[in-house]
Amino acid sequence: MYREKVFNTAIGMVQDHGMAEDITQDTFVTVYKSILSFNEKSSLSTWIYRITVNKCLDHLRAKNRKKRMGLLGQLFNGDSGEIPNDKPDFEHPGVQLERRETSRYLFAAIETLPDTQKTVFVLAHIEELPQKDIAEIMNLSIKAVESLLQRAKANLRKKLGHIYDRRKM
Amino acid sequence: MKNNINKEKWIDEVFNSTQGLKRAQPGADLYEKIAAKLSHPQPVSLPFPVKRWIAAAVLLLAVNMGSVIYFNGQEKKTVPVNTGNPLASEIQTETTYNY
Repeated sequence: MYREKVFNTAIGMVQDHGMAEDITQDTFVTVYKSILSFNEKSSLSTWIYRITVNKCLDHLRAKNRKKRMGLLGQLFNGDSGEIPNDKPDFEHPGVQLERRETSRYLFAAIETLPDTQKTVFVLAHIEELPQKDIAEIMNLSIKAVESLLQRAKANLRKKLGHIYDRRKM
Repeated sequence: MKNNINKEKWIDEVFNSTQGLKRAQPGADLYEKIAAKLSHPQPVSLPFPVKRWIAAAVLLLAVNMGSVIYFNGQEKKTVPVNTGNPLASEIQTETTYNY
């Protein structure tokens, strides 16, 4: 039961099947090692989601660091350094077949969100968690979660609008 | 105008593309892999920036050591100053320059 929740959250955030598997394994290793320190202030589910989200964010930060160093290398090597950020190449394995093509644009746009907005959107839209649970997982107020979600949706609409315009050209 | 309507319609379609999403399944060997990680913990690797900082610190130390050795080993250049004193050649009032 938890393994699907963890894996689904991870794959929504990192958009890589192999990395999501690693994060899932690491999450359960951490849960196993830290279970005695679980203080039951939150539910077990919230605690496991929190560990998963933190591991995903660690991975995303490491990936961004590598990307920045890559850009630096390209600067010295004279490459253009342009990273295509609206190229839809990730297909979530749980999406219905007839919607897979369209969903790729959504995930490409999600990839461009700041980490906190990405987290909130994935937990709300992909995991379909209530805002109260998301607030507990992220140690935020419900209002803060609402605000982040609104901003995430606005940014996604803007990004998708640009993708639509580029497709029409 | 029509383009904007079509654009908004397409965006809505993209947003709704995850409706009816089924939970993705991890590999069947997940538990074996977790058990393996628990039995054989991975060595901790330093995060990327720490390695760079260590390398920078070593380089800085090497440059500083090199400077200390260089300046200590410099031959001292002296310029005799004529003071009119008949014993000047004996006293050797010198201004020392280090180049």
